[in-house]
Amino acid sequence: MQVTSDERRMTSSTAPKTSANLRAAVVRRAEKRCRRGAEEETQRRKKCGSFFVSSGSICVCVSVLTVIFCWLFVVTAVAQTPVTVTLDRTTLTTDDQLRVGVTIDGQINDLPTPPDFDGFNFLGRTQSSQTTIINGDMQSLITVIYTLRPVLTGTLTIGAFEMIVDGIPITTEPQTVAVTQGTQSVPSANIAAPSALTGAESVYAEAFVDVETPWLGEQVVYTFRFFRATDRLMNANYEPPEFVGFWHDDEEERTTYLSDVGGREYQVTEFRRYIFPTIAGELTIEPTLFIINDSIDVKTAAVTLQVNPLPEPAPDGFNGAIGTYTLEATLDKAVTNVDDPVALTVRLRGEGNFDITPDPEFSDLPGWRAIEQQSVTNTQFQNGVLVGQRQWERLLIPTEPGELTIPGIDYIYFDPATEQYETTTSSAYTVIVGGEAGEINTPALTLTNPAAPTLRPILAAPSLLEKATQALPDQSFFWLLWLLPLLIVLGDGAAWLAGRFIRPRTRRTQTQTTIIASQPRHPDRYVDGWLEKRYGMPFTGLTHHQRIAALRETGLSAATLTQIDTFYRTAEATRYAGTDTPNIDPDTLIQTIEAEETK
Amino acid sequence: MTSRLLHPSSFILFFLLFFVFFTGQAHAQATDTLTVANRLYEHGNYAESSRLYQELVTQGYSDPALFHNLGNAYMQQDEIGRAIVNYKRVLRIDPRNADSRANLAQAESSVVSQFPTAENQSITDLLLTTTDYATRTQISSFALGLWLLWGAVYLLYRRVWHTGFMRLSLLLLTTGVIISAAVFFTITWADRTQPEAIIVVPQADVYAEANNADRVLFALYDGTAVHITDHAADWTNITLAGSDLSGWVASNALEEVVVD
Repeated sequence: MQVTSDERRMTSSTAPKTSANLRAAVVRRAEKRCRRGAEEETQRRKKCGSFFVSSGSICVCVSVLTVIFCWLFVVTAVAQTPVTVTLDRTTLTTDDQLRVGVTIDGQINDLPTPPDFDGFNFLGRTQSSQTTIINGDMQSLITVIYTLRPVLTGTLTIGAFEMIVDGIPITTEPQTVAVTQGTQSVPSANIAAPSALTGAESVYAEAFVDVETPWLGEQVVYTFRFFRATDRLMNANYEPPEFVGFWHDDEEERTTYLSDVGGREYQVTEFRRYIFPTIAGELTIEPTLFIINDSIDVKTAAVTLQVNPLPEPAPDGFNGAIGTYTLEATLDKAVTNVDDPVALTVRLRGEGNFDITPDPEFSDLPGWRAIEQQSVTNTQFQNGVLVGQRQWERLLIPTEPGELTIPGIDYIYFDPATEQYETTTSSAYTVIVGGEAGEINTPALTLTNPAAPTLRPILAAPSLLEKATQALPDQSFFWLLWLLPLLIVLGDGAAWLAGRFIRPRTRRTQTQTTIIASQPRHPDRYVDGWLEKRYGMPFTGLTHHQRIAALRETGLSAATLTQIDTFYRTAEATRYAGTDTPNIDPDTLIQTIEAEETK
Repeated sequence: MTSRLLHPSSFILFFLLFFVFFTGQAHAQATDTLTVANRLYEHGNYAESSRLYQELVTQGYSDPALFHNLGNAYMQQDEIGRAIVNYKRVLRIDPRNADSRANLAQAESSVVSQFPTAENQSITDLLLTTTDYATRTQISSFALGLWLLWGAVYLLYRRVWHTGFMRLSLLLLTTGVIISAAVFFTITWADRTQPEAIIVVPQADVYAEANNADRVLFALYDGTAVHITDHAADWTNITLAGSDLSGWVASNALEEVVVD
């Protein structure tokens, strides 16, 4: 997430003003329009009864939308700030530790200024910084992790971090965590109460160092403690000294505990600063000032140190490293070909101030061409000592075949514990280099992580990260759909059963209805057709006399013949004269004929 | 003006806009966090990057890229088990993701506890191999689609086209429904009754009973795949795939593959 300087300026100053002006202008315009058309609008609303078609409603919608989108713009701009603050948890107990990570994507001169961490003991800080140069574009990513331990319960707030990133001041948002009581008690004092404190004082302050005659560049812990009686309510602030002649940063460890002195209970706040003298001779740390209720000042005593210069003569190659260090080097493979690079990882670790510790000297290697890739620094306080690690990665490209040597690297430092100059040397390696690419099969050797080199790379972040949704088979409608074909089969089966067992009972009743419904429009022709099938002779087109004569041959009685004749005459009259339908039903007539034949 | 603002339509519009706004903002911030985590990873800060990835997973985000990158971050820290869990999660969502499949194979080759694959695979194992090609949702959708099509063809055959072609179609569809439903129900049954989990600690002792004082049957190492069969307090009963070995391990020694 790269943000240009211009964009950041807009984020910090211009954008809110622009959005506010725009919002105000739109709202004013909307209100003016609303007032002007109020009566018309009322009439229109009465007529149509719709909310959305009225101009006043549109004004409201426009106003709301404007406010929302201005807010959206501002929040989006803020979200693109190059600083991210993360907490490893938001609920914890007083037994737990909280890790607050500040990730800075940009260039900074000084580390972030942390908040006071009220309610927490500051346990340590881990800092890592990476700088990568890709195609001449330098990218820097710094991560600082603060380890805290809560001493109070309830909702605690971690205030804003302040820093200057790429020349622009940035202030982060405060974070809150919920703290519950753990099983362990509040930390107790690890240093005895001062003898000057008798119990009669309401407040008291003192300061001291752990080493009064340090070597130049040696770590010194400056501790200042503030005692305040718990039976007095007061508000206290403090101003630390300038630490002239010392390297220091703004980080400090803070511990709060209760102490009983002379029968009176005091709440003790203990601060620790890690400082490194940069000048030999007598140095004085000015008093720390505590301000009580914005009016009363309480000072610690000034602390004087006698800083010893480093012993002379210093060995050749000594660049000012003071502490205790170990230099290591690892190689990713021991067999390669010309122009096929090997990766050399050099790691310096130990106790000391890694912010000012010089780098080892990487000399030119005959037969190799070196490309510096990146360096990573991690520092943290461990048990009151600043420890850390700095790692360099070098790509070494062999330029000639044969057995090439990568010599060990010497690193000279002054160890205050032994009061001597010491040397740590990394391992040397011999690499077999083939003449041309592919000549030698190059297996990976002695890797700290054998899986890493051939691991497929990470995937780019999608444009929108989606949350997990309920899978289709876990949704109820999915299972309901499975029933649908079953219902079809069951319905079809039910229809079949109905046709087989229920329909025959009603068939007789339905037959009459069906026959009537299927009667032709001309009953005389219908009866003609039946007679033709019955007696096997044509009846269509005959006159009344001819039809009666033909039927008389079949042996029908005179009454039946008369009935038939009447039916045909009536049917003819119905068709041509438009009179009522024949009063003799054709089926009844047919049944009469059938009955007579049966006799 | 006040009465207009209090109109129910205003409230509905207002809440809809806010819902869309906040949802979009949350997702955009998550994407930003993923981008930062990727940058940290590229700069070699694997611990911090994995912490940010894990934070997104905890917030409920489920994306192949997120799980793949988290798996890589764990691999770089030699946490093989957690890496395997996350690669498997990718393949649950996207079975054809070649990158995660390659990294998973590499991670699994680093696992100390290697168990030979059973020579005679059961029909269940055969059906479960379909998950290498399709997700459970895809398989279930296919099975349901075939089943609904079968219903439609059956209706047409009975009521409209009582032909030989329809009869043949019905027969083929019936076969398809049976096979796809068998695959789907087998996968679902396996997921529900014996969910897959991975050992995520360097060494996990497997006890005969859910008790530290009981005898240790055997030990499993980081990255070993197991199936969960039962739970009891802080203990989980596991069985090894392709064998009859089973026992109790501490629940915090393993992690389920399925994302809840």
